[in-house]
Amino acid sequence: MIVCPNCQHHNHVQATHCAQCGQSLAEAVYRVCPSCGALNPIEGQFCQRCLTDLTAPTAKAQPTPTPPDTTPEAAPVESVPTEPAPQPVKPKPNKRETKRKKRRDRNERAAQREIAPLPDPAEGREYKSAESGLAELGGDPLAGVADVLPLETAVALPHRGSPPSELRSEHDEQEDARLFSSLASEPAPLTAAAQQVLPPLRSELPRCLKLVLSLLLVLAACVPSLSPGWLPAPTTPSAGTSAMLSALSSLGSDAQVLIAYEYGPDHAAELDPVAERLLEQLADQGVRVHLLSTEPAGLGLAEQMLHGSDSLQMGLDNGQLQVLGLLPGREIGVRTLMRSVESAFRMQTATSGAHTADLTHTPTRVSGFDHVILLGDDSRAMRAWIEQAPPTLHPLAIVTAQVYPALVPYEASEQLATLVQGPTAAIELQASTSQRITPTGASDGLAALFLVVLCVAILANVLPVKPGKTR
Amino acid sequence: MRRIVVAAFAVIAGLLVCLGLLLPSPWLGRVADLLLEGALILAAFALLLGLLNVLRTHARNIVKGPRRGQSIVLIVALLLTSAIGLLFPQSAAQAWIFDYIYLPIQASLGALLAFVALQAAFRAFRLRTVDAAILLASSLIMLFLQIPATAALWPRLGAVRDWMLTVPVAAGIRGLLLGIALGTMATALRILFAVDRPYTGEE
Repeated sequence: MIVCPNCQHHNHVQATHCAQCGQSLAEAVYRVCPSCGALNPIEGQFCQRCLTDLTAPTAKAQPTPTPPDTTPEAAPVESVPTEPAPQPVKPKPNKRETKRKKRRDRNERAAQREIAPLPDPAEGREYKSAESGLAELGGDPLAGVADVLPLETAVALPHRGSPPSELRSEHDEQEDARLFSSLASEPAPLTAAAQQVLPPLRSELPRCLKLVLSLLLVLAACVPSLSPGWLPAPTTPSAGTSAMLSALSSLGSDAQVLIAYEYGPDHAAELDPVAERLLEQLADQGVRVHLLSTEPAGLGLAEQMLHGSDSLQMGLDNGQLQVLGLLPGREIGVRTLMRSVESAFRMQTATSGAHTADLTHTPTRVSGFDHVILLGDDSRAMRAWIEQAPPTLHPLAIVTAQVYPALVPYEASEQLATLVQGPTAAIELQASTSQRITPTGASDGLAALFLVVLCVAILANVLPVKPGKTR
Repeated sequence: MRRIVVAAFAVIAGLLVCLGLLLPSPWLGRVADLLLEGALILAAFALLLGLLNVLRTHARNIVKGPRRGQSIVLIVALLLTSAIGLLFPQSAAQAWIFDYIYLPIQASLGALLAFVALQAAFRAFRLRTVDAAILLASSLIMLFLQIPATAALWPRLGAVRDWMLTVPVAAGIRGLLLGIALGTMATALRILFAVDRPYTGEE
């Protein structure tokens, strides 16, 4: 419906003149929005649909509408322009505004299904005149809206267009969005450690040099087996080894010794020689030896050692050497053992069919053993023994070179009777008894390892190494 | 309510064990030993639960996992070893598994550490800072003094090694041990005073 601005008569949608007063309805009433094609009253400054400024230069390029003649006589009946109206200058669409308009149009179309879809300015549709625009649209785009929106009032009443308040709120929203975006994109305050930019990890060791050093290490590891004995062996054992030897050599045939295997296969090469030598010496003396471990691997090593030597196998067969079993729970197991040997191995003795330790010849308490020997490569396991043992128990400890420094304070406080390193003790035992172990080879091996490390230190400071590939 | 009960049980058990260690009371000692044995049994069940969890995780991997082959190997090895250990304890098969599978693998892994340590030494021994210089000097000196032949060549070097181990090294280790002990005591006190609550199964 078209409302005549003169008499407010409701005319047909395709009417060009008012049926009541003859007023032209083509250009005098509406102004075509150059952006969305909506028809707006001539008095409006902004498009009611897309808020485009109708007085902008592009919009002003439209032909100036003729003022409506109030007299029906003066109004030419055939005032429909024969020539097409000047084509409105189409504004260069801003992308953001275009998107916003599209979105708004889409929402409006969804809300008002009765409204016919309006032409999209982005499609490049040209508007020659309101009449031709209406013809292209195939009818009045506002048909059916009369009952939904008060378009009649908006169209009919002369009013000065003013930016609606919605525009102001939209501006505020844009400001808020801009502020939120700046806050969100602002980097969070970092801690001092996080602000430190770490250099990329580079492999500073070239591949060829890595290979050379690895070969040197392999050669050093082979030295103990290949060496005829270039370096002299120590003639006298150290104080710790001497104390251990004197303590063990004084044991009679009725003595009982408890040995804890607290090391794994990764350090077996370091501790196996001295452990085997100790077992053989104790077996030769007729001492009754009981073996246990808090780790399954240690127990396996003990059993492997006993079965691997003829003399030890013989001692195992005649009951001189005995494997008590696994002591689970580490600290708790050691504490239980300190309370009662039988209660610590109650599970094993109660198990029928499995390995059963014969505890008839075993002291009921740990204090009944003449000596407790700890063989270990784990400082925590060794500390469990030291800390859970009563102060009167002074174990003899043989440990790896890695663990040795961690246990030095316990030796100084006499919680350990003796503390010796495995490789050193093996060599010194060999030196004192002149038996199986080849001390000179082991000494040469340690010297070769020292040379390899010395080479690494020199190469690291002399050789100009280029940074490798970043990982 | 459950949190309170668990915390109260932990506090009471900890106090009893602590008092059993400190006071010469045979009754308290028996109670403490009983609680410790209970902890041992619980640890055994926890180990069993861990085993079942490993089985479940790798069974899920087999069904829809990227490393299906590794999970199959793990489950087969686990079940096979467990079956042999349970059905034929102290048998030759169990000894064979230990001697020819477990022991070589573990020893090989230990040996590989030497190569890794060597590469790390190449980076650490570069004299860029004073700390690196101290590290390099102490490493070379200690390694040199560890060679038995040095003591044979010059007996005073053995005394130097003993001095280094018993004075500077032992001082550092004592500091570490004291720190560990203080941390353990602080943790124990926090649990005993219910500041830290033990695990109750709640997220």
